Amino acid sequence: MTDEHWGYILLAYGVTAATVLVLLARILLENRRLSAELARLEKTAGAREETL
Amino acid sequence: MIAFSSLANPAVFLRLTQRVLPWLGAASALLSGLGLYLVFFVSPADYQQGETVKIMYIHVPAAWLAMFAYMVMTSASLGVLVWRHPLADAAQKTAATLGAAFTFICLVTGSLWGKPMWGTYWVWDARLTSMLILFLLYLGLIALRQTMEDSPRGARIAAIMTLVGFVDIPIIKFSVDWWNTLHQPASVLRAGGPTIAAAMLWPLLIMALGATALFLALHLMAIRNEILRRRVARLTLQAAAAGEEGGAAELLEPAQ
Repeated sequence: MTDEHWGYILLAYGVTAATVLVLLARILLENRRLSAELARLEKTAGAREETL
Repeated sequence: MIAFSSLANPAVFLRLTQRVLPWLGAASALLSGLGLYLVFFVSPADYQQGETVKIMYIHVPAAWLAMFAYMVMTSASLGVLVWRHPLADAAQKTAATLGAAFTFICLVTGSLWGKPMWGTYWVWDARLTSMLILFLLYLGLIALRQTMEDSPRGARIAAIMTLVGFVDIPIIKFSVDWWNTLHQPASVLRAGGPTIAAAMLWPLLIMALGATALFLALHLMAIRNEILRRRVARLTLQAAAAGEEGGAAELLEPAQ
């Protein structure tokens, strides 16, 4: 096969890797954001219960 | 059934997945690494396609996972409609994004494989068109979930829509048998056994296993996020309600 087709092969693997990395990064960043938000809310709820 | 339902408890699910996820991640990394080594350094070039056949090792697993994700969504939809379980709803909702991503990979890699082999990036044949419909189904279901709040009614509507869309899965699978298509017929998952050479079949199966482990890991992580998101939403509502009560008490204090 001529060398010109390596461009298609590398592009296919590149698009796949980029899509998977975007998915993984999105999920990890969302997990970090939600964990921080949950910890903050639980702390606030705990403080409110102590006040009551 | 009792053991199964206890596993479906969100708190138990979070604890269980905490232990399972590292193993799934490691399995995915090892299998994909081994698969990529076999693809680029061991597997032979095809006698007709040459090295371009290497695109098959990502295109085919992506196609399988695109359909597998929809089957996961369909099973979860049955869980929503029959048992009305919130975890089934979370599984159904989160699988849509992953399914869309793997369908996108399948369409793009197929297009990049088609250009040097068929001379065109796209042709409106039955297999390609039904796969594009699957991608649009995923996008439609994602959009549907974004327009609806987290209510049991919203979950049931999404579940029914998912079940209706399932008709596309057998059409994708059998499109190459039912119609004359430019796309080749099945060469691995077929009645008479695989027709593909063992030197290509093993790297393909290893890549598929690696991709499946990756899908399962991403899906479990996404379900965990959905559980956390619902907890955050519930606590935010509680905090808002408590704030309103507090505010009302403060307003009443001067009068008292």
